[in-house]
Amino acid sequence: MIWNQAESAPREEIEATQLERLKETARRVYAINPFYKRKFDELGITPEDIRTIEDVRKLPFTRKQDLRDHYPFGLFCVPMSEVVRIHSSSGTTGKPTVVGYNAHDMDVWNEVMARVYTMSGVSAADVVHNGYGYGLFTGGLGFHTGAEKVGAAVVPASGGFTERQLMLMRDFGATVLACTPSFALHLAEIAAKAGSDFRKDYKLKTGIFGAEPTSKGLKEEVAKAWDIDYHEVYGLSEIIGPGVSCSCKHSDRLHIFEDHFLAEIIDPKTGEVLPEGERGELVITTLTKQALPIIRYRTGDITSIVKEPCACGRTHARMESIVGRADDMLIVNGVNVYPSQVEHVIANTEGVTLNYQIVADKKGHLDKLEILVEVSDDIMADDVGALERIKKEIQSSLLNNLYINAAVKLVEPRTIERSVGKAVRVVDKRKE
Amino acid sequence: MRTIQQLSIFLENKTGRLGEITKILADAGVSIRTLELVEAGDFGILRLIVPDPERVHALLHDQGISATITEVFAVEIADEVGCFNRVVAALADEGIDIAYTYTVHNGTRGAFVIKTAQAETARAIERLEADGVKLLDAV
Repeated sequence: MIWNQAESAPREEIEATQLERLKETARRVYAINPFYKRKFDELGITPEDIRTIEDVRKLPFTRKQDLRDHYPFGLFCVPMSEVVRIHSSSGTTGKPTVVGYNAHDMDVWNEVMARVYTMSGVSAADVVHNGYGYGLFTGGLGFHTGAEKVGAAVVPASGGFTERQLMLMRDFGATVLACTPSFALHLAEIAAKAGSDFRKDYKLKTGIFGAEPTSKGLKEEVAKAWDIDYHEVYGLSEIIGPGVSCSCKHSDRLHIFEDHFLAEIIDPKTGEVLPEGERGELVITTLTKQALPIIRYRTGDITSIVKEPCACGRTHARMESIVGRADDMLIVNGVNVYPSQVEHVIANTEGVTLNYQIVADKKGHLDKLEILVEVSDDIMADDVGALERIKKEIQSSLLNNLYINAAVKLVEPRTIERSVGKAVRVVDKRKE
Repeated sequence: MRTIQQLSIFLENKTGRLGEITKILADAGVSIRTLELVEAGDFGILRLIVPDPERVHALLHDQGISATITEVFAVEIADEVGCFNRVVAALADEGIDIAYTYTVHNGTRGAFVIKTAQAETARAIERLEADGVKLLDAV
């Protein structure tokens, strides 16, 4: 099922809509917001310079820091009397980023979330158990009002209280689970205490998961743990919240709602737009937002985009599940390495826990990469050969999958540096 | 079954690390009956036989040291030429591989500590006892 015909429009029509809306957005921000006016002026461009969709490349980037610098409402483009909703990040790494919506923006958000639900096979007949956090975070309320739009019954469970959530899921006959993949797995672990046939007490058929980077392995684990279809949703509050893109049942890739969001892939170092299919940083321009339109927002997320039509009938371009963060990217002897890819390799090595650290250093003129892996009691063996095999397996897996030559070093538990409880995953000694 | 619990400790090959571990053991009043250190490039395994290995394992774990308990067995060294050959030959005859072995001397008495694949340990002990080889409950 497809919610809106726009999702299966011919490519020329999609791009014509995008161009018209891009022009309108550029005109609005230039006329209303001093920040954008100054940025356009610095580049010597005006909204009239946008004649084709490619002309978006002439526009300036917007970064998270710009939102922080204009805390709280400096980038809003409507009077506060028109704003009906405000969300905010927690601001643990600096000033919070604040986003606002007017009534029109709420319609857009509900529209894209209705598409997410429909793409995931959810209809008015369903009961949606919403385990995304309600509050300043956009996840809870985004999934909530979107479910109402498709007519499903939504249970606003929010986070925490695992046992009680499981009771509600059983008693209310939830057919759809919406939450982070890690919480879904946690729920399954607790539910499994009732016995290995615990699934008979639940009616779940599908799950819509997102809000955290997820490896393929974790997705499969969640789908298997609950025996449900796995749909992945992508979004960020700066753009709208959840609902920028979602995966259908025919592909792991996520359809971007292109009539509302214009997506580009750029080289994070140079800012140049990359050819279709290549991996780089996702940059999004909102096409229909009014309270907080954003021009060329640097998401920091690494992905690739393909435009070929999908077996599901949709023509909207599809992005890969996020493979990493642009800020974490390392270039080692000319090869781009994302810590998340290394993590994926380590996670797929039998018996190895995930405490690792990537150390980049120079050896003469060449870069060398060393991966430290903590030897926990789980992999500790009274067998030098077995430990050597683990090393070799990770090493050859990195070479075969990521084309990087790295030395793997087994280290003692707790030797990997932790900052504020989080392990430091990347150390780049080349910068020192 | 006459096996002995051996503690194997993961050691990074860096200066002073062994000393840190032996200090933890000394401070906890652990008497080391025997030890063997195996080195493999940038790491090694320290094998220890101590009284109450479970307690020592827990102690090391709390200090963030990775260790595991392995079942080994000890045969007494008879005071005659060819005694080790007898043990090795018997195991070879059974088709049992020795993963590693080392010797312990404790005043007047000596023993070979032997590790085989876990699934074969019981059979190894059975055969050696049948051959009249003396197995020790402790070293």
